[in-house]
Amino acid sequence: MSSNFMMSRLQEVVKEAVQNRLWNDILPQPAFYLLAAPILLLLIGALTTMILGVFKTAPEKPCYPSWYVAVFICFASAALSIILKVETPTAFLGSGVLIDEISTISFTVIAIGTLFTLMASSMTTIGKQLLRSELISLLLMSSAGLMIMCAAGEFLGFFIGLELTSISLYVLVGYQRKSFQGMEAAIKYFILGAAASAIILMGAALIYASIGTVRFSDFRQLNISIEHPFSLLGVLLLFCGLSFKLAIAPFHSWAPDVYQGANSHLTGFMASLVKFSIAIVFMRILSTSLGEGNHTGLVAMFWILGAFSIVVGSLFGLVHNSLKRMLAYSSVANAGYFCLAFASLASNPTSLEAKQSLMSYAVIYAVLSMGAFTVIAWFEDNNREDLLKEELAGMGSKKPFAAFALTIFLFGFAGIPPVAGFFGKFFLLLSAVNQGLIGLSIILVVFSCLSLYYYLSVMVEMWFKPATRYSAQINQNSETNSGMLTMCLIAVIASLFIGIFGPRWAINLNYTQATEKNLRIVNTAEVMTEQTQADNTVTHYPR
Amino acid sequence: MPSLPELGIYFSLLLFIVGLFGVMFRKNIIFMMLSVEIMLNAANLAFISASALTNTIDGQVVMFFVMAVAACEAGIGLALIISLYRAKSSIEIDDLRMLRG
Repeated sequence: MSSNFMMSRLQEVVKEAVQNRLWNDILPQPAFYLLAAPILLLLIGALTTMILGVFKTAPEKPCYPSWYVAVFICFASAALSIILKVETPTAFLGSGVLIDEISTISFTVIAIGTLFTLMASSMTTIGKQLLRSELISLLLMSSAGLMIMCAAGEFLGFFIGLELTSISLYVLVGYQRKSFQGMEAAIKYFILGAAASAIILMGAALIYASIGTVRFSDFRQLNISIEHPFSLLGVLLLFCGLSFKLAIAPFHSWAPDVYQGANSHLTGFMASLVKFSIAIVFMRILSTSLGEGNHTGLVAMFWILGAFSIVVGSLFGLVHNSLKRMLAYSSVANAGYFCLAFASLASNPTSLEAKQSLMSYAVIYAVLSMGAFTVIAWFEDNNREDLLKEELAGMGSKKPFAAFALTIFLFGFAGIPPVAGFFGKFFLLLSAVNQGLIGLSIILVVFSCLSLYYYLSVMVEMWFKPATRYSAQINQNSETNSGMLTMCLIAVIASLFIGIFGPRWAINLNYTQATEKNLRIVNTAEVMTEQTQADNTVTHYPR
Repeated sequence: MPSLPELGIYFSLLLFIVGLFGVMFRKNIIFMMLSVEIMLNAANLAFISASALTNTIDGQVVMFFVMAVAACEAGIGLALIISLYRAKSSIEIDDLRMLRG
């Protein structure tokens, strides 16, 4: 049989498949527009705010029409994602958008977090610089990207979401074109973030070369061993790139600079929501077992990354004086705590405990860091940005509520019981010990005691030192004070509520992910095998 | 002798390493950005080679999306570099040393 005939036959089969099946498979059902409404709303909101900015005459001033639209959109999207109940996990657009309980809870967290950032930044002078219409539009775009990332069940959707987020954040970090610090942070974030994206992409390409698909649920076909260098290298590169984005220790070098140089409200957004989403993506990838056997290599990798991250985060935080830089190292240490859940999930991908602990800690960490950076923005208002620890001296008597809120959040990071962080660490340790990761658990406990030192040193400055002439000014106007008090109160109540009643959302959640076996893109390999089978059975084709 | 698609993947790994070394050791930010572009293009090459290797189309689809993303990144990166040059009149990475602990 001539190859020419083979090709024409192949084309016929492909054409038929395209006509009959492809459109039914790739066009979303009507339910998609309802279930994915939080994402779609945010994207529509981003475009609307961008258009509203055209009518502004003073581009440097905050654009309140855009802000109203953005707040309304975020509120609507949060409300929708709370109201919508998903009975059966469904996959849309191939497995590009999975709507299951994991995605709805991440939609809720991301929408509420964006709403919180928008509200808080409308109240301070430094935050008002973020309220230009194009920046609001970028903020909405980046949170839509985070949602796409959390809902993605395959690599392409995840990558598009990641880039939508990252590219918007590069611009948002460097929005102050006159400020050296902001520009420096933006350039560093851009170079390292883009390199990390390229590393993730190369990893996915190598995984694709070894199994022929980029869906997360198909990663179980992987065979990670030294005999299969493509899959080994691919998985390594993929996880290295993701660790870059999560700021796990050997890849953390961008985090302190970027957190220090960016606007504090934006730092809160980055530290909480971006890390939350990347943790969810880790959970989605790791909850299908990557190949047969008992992944000792993967567990060892997460063990080493986690231990290194915890040690670096806890020790380097001790020597830094800048408050935001210190919290950046604390976030590196927290990324190390996430590694406990990753390691226990890698050793047993069906472990419900590991998923629960990861979900609860991701949400708790998001709440705490959002709150902490909001308090810092309150202190920084009308002062210079990037406060030092010494500048908080005497704040306990001058601004008691701000100092109290910061104390609560720092206790939360340290894991002191009445605050939420305790439950997060408790569940992490529980799942890690049950999976036999005793060494890593001991490292977590020892070094979180050590990191308590730098959290406590901030509290000592605030509560027990008298105010000096270097102390931060408290000349914020009453509008800022009352508004920020409300925002901090919300975050404090949330963290105390979680700390007292426990992370129930994570325990009651249904962790089954949607899977779909459809022919999303016509698979020529299958067509070819059908073809050869047909060749073997049928003697000749009707022309 | 490996097949042509496999050779494509090996070549893309080589390109990727070139790009990675460029990001790590170059001092000029424009060259660093170009190295990142080389890395992205290496990944593109790997995707299409793998598409030929595994007889599936997914890789070619990913390649088109990545080309668009790389263009966006180049645009944003050049804009950032220009505004950095306006602020500091230098685009050497060693001159970026305000943010230190």
